[in-house]
Amino acid sequence: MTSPESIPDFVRASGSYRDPEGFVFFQGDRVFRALTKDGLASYHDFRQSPLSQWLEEENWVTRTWEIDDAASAGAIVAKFPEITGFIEQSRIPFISYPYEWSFDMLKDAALHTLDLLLHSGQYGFTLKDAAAYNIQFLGYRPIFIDILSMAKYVPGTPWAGYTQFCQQFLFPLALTAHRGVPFQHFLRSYPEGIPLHVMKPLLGGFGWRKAGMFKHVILQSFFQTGFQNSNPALKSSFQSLKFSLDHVTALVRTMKKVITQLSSSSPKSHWAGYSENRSYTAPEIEAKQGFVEKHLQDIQPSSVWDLGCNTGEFSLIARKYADLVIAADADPESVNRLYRYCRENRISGILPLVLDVTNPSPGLGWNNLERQGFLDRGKPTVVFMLALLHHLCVTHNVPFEYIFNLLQVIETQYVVMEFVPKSDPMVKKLLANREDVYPWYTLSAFESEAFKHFSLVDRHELPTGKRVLYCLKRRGH
Amino acid sequence: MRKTIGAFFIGIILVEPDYALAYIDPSAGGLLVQILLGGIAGIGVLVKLYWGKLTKLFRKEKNDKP
Repeated sequence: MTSPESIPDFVRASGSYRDPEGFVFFQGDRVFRALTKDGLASYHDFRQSPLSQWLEEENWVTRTWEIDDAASAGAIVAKFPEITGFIEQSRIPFISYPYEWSFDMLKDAALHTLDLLLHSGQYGFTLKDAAAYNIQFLGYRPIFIDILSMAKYVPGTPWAGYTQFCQQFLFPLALTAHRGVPFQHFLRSYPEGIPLHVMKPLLGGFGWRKAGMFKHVILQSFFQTGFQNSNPALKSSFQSLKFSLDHVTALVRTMKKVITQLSSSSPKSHWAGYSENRSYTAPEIEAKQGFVEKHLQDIQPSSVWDLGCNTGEFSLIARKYADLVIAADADPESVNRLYRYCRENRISGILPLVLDVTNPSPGLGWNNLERQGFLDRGKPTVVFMLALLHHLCVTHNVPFEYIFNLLQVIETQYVVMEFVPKSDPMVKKLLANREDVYPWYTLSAFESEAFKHFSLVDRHELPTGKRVLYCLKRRGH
Repeated sequence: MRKTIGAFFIGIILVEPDYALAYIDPSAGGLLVQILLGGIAGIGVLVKLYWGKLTKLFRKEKNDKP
């Protein structure tokens, strides 16, 4: 039996303060939950139900186990006297947030939450909330991580997470499906979900005609604003209505129908077709794939970040050699394609994320610590920057120095990069309608900056063009 | 049933309260939607809630008279 005391220092998860029944803390690589008396009782109820075993076996929820000698966890109990028990839970390799997910990721997370509610209902259990942050991704598979949210249903109570579900799942999905607007920036601006008063105007004049929108947006907004001053106590109403699990289940089923019908309708992405339209010849593609594969074989990385992954051609190679591949791209549609490809072909080991390298997710929420910034969430062994440099330098005016500075911040051990010269058709296209204010964008300037911070492992000129591939190793590592 | 719900909404829209950017209980609207979906009895609860607003409207008019 392990005790959290075995490592004296613990770090409380900064985002874990809402639930009065306990909080998450870390010790090294391990994740624990400290529970109050009520939290522990609720956890015991859950563990004693056949539901918990089924959910764990099916990988619907993260695995948890109780730590018996809680009394020895002195450091925590001394600081939080209300804590009476501890559980440990399996660690998620890389935490991601809803504003980094693609459409189908958020949709699958929504359906997972609803399925969990429906299935738990059969055992008399429900979820205390419906936060999208309670879902994480193990590759393409969503998994529920907040075991403390699982509680026995109390007769005469509503679906507690209804509004939260609308704001964190339904509204962002509907925004993309019905209006063609990517939801990611909205969820980043509203970490608690898109508020009703913001969603209603975003829905547009005829949006209410779409499935579920009148009920969940217009009507809910109407009621909300209608009673904001009187704020009636509605607890007794639910009891007098004899509101039951059947009512909750019916509402969840209706919601599931609405969510299932939603599909991404964003205009055809420029980037999603990029891997088919790019200017490489077949021997060049082969050479590039060979170069990447050879160095992954040599490095045997534990994690790879493929920045500007497009539809993930090189992430798919990297997953063969790394335990975890973060496939990040700023284009939601490309990321969605990769996610769907992995899901349909059951390819694990890749976590696709919508992420703009020029503006990675910052720390958000209370004290900017509640949701960690992307760059603070892990240290990769290898970073890929393939066919990305010219976009950063020419489209975004990012100097070479800044790029290598970012790689230093990321603390990657290796970087596999591609230099695309001005003579390349793709760069010519980028320069077609802008003044060439990039006299510094040369191979020699690139190399001179690169070698200040990294040593050369390998350099390879692609056969027909003038593109150059590099495998670089950070100095001092 | 649909007609009843329709008539009910025409009724409540007529007594729509003032919209103001005050603090909004984030779940009040959600709870009321769930009450409505609770069936006929739920509609009864809502009618009761709106009845207060309706009578308040008439009371106001009466008070306005010199």
